Amino acid sequence: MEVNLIFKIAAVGILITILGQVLKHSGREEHAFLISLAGLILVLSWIVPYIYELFETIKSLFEL
Amino acid sequence: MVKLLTVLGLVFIGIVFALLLKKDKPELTIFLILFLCIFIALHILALFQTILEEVSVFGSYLEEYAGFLKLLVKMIGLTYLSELAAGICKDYGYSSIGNQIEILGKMLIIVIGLPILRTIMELLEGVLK
Repeated sequence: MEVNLIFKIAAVGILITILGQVLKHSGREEHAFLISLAGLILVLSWIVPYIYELFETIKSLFEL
Repeated sequence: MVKLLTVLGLVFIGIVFALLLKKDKPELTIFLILFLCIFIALHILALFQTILEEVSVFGSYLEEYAGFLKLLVKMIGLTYLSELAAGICKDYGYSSIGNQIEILGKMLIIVIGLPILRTIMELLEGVLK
């Protein structure tokens, strides 16, 4: 799971950049912004379980 | 050794992609860097688990003060987590927030260390009397 998450994030980043450029040049500026926001939230949803897992491990390991 | 190689390999790939995205989508790189930190942190915690099992054997020697070993482990955890967060904040140029997080971590450690301080004071008082 680990490795392809990195590739997925990179792929989403590149895709959004291209889409944003295309939308910008075709005059729809606000769509470009919405697209990058959507990509951001998508990647955030991928990362949150990992953050939760890290905090749970630390909490259980150090008895915090 | 193999674990180190896998981690390093993954980290370098991640850094390359982070640099790729840095120019036009810096906000996405923070997730990538966060994921790399978490990946390494999980490896660190696995190693720390084995260390902890060994060290907890020493707990039996300090009969009366075995609780302090637990406090020590808590302090290590606090330091590690606050350093991780502060480092990431500083990486992205928000060193003021990073410093605040460091100070917060130090304060928490002081709060946890208060019982130890009290025990030392009592011992000293006993000696001086």
